[in-house]
Amino acid sequence: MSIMSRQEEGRFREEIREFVASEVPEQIRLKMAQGRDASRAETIAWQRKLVAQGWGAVHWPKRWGGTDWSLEKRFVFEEEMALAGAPGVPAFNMRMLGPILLEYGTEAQKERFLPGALNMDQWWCQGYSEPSAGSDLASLRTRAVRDGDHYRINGAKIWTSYAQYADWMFCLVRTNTEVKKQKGISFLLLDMRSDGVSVEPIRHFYGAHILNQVNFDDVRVPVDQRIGEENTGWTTAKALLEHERLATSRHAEARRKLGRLLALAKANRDRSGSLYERPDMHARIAHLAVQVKALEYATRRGLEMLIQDGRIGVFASSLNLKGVAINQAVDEAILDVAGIDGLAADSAYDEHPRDVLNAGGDARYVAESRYYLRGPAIAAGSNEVQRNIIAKHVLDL
Amino acid sequence: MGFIPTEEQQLIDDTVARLLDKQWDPRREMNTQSSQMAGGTLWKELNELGLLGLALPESAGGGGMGPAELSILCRRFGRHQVRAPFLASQVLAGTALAHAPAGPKRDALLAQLAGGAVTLTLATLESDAGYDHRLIEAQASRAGDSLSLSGCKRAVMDAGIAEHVLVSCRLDDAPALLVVDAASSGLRVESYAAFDGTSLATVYLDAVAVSDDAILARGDAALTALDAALAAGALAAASETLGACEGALERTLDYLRIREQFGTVIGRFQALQHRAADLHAELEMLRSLVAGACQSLAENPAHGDAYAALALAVPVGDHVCREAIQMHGGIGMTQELGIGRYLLRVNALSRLFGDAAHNGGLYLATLEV
Repeated sequence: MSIMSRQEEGRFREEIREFVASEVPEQIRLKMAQGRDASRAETIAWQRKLVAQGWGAVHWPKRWGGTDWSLEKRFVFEEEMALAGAPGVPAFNMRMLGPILLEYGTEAQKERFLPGALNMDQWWCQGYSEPSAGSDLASLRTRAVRDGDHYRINGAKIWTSYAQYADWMFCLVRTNTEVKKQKGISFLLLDMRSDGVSVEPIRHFYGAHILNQVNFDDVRVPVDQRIGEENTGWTTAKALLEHERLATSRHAEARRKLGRLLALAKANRDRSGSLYERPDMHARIAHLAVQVKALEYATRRGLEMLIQDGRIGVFASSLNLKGVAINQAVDEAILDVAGIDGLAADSAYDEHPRDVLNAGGDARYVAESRYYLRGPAIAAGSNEVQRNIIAKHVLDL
Repeated sequence: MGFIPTEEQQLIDDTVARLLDKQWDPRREMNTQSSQMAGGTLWKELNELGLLGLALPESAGGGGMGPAELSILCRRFGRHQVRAPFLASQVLAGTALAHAPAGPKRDALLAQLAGGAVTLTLATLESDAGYDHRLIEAQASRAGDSLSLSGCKRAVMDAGIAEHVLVSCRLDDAPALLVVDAASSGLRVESYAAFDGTSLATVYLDAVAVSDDAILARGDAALTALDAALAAGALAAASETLGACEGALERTLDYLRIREQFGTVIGRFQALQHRAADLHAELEMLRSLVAGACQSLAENPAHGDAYAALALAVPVGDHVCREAIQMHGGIGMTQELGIGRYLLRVNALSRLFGDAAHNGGLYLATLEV
């Protein structure tokens, strides 16, 4: 594995920053700084710019529009993009479906789905969780019954992020009820426009619409849209989660938010001066800065494990636990520093000029990020599941 | 790169671990103070293996290794509950000397230290100055051919056995670092034990006559040497805290696996499992930050990451070591079991080098520039 020299890395980071500075529209840059999502159209437009630059899916092989870069270079790329305030790559297309197809798909499946996934001609969503299968995912019950060269799907998926945007879904379905629960699951690709698919929004408690329930009423899926053999879907899905493990630390996000916290604390004042200088706030911010630094180094350590051993194992659970907790703590401090400026609902920020709602630094939409971040403590293995994993696999309890 | 130990680093760690297993029984050494340890066989063997001077410059006969290797040694000391004058002599005084301008006195002292022929300490802290080593009241003034040094230094580690004391003071209205012979007239060392077994002293300097060649550094050069020493001290304290936490957690996990109550081993209870998992995750963060700080200090000896590491080590150390007592139940309170010694040590380290707010503030200040 070739290691980038310091100069190479510096030049590369500079190149990325320049690209982001010239290619990300002001409107989106502001949204990112405020911790908000880009819209569907904005996300697709940005992805197509990246594709044109050759950076659409840096971790895919060149043959499919990727780069063949080293793990380290990909890490630097993703880190610098996030720090520079670029929108994130659509994870379901690029980081989840893509790697799965590359590893388990047939050539025909790759030809059919990879180009559209890269270019965002199809927006993919992930159908894993079900109303009665959350942290215990393997107990999922959505049935797929073979009917000639099709499966008939009945059941429901829940917590499906951006299903309202999606053209296609990759999902786990039960194809055998007679065996151990992990052994009877298959991995299917499903056209969201098929007859019998319906999407119901599930609003977050603070109002945002990200999540959905997706219902299947006798949906027909051609057998050639199954990835891998029948009843091997659990293995496929587990491998898919492995691709995502380093990213769960959210360290670049935490660093960006720490910058926002510092700016806001310096801009906002009480009668004795800036909040940044207030001793209790200064100590709190210092502690957060220290934790964010620890998270950054922990993520780099994880990268080194990946490079050296090809896996990070249970270290991912610590990264996930602490990454979420540290991001939440920074968000909480931001909201506290915002004070009354942080009270406005998102819709109020949409409708009023900033100076009506903010006296100090830019506190627009600060509440949203703080409440959004309750979610990652629950998704993809809740904090409690991560603790179970650590207790069992590391601590031998 | 630098987060996974190299083979050479692993070898150092194994060597130290084997030596400590053989030569240092924490239970037997429960009442051994840091200054007393210096006369023992372990100290001699550490010296003979070149471990005491491993991070001192090669030019002075030291090992020429970096912060990462220093950290390995301190971490082992923490894990095995070693009390030694290492922090005072090799880390604080040694680093200050290594970063002071070359000169006959400095070179000679450094060579003696690297050879294990002398014990030194660094006296910086004063009353009413918190942990700010740049707030200096001790004063050296011209008195004929020599200097006259007066002041009072607090919480000086192992001053009772140090042959020479490095003292920060003001000279000609600028900071300076002097070296004072411990036998000098006018220098009085009042030694006492800290609650964790560290030997401390209040050092009174009353018109101590010091010759000009004892000026190790002055002005910015003095601050450079002091900054490097304090950063190395912070990294060493963070590393030792990490080691203490690892020792405390390991012993606690052993206990959770065998202690039976309510008809089962208590490690089966999810309430305890989750708390132990949280401690593990906290230590993973501390491990990562200490390793990152070692890399930063290798490039800049006064890098703020050292203070970040200690700022995290203080609360993590306190939490892990308190939980170690709690999860042991009643037996955890006993001196005989000794699990509480880890808490004493990590708390003493944070008293010696400053609490989380102090060290966090130092780190935050380095982000400003």
